[in-house]
Amino acid sequence: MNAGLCVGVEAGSERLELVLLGAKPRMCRVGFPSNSIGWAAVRGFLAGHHQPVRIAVAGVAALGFALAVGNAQDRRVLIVAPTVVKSALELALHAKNNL
Amino acid sequence: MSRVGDYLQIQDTVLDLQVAGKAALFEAIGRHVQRVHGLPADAVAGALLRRERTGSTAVGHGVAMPHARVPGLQRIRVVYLRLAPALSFDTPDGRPITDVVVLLVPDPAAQLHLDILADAAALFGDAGFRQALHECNDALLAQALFVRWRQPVPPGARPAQPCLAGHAP
Repeated sequence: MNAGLCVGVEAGSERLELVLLGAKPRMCRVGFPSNSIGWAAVRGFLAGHHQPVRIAVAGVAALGFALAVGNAQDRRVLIVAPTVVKSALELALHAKNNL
Repeated sequence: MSRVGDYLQIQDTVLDLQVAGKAALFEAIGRHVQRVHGLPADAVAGALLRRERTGSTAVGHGVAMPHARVPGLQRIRVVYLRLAPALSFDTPDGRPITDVVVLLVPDPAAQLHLDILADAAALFGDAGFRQALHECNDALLAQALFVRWRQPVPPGARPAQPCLAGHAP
């Protein structure tokens, strides 16, 4: 998978913290509610990208978020143990370097 | 953090729109932004439809957030439509949609696009907001609700940070 959008998601019980590493702009940071609407909004945003998307997610809501977003063509989701990397930025870099 | 209410104008708040289907909805949005903002109706409707084909923008609870890049657009445009009757859509919870928040953006993946989308998700994730919005019987009240509604800040939430354009890849 070539370089595209790399996303780190710190999935808490009430809030998703996202860091997106891409080409333009190089980095964005945003917070979504960690509920079904927030997960679906993130999925909808990522589905509109016509480039590969790599997502690394950690936190108590990681499994629910990963299932909601799901793997798709040119989209990979990896659940990462919070002992490995924790912050959204670290997770985005993990996605960039390891997926 | 930029908010939906900062970008939603009264003339872009449309209540009780009747449409027959998804394509008709996007065509109605195109006609609206052409009439109000002079944007090309076919280009807007086509961009929204193409985007929707890559995956549904419905988020559940009767809400959809279609968004698309529109070439030539100078600034983000936000349009809110309340549908009556509700419209069948590819929704995660199977419920038809009544509330549509449209984001037309000049650039993909921009910080502002994400901020507004996140704010819309926070607003519509609040059952109290959805109920209050449905009780609004004119566009002025509905638009004012977007401006004035405040969500509770979850414990431990961090303040919004600006885009860090200088990050090294």
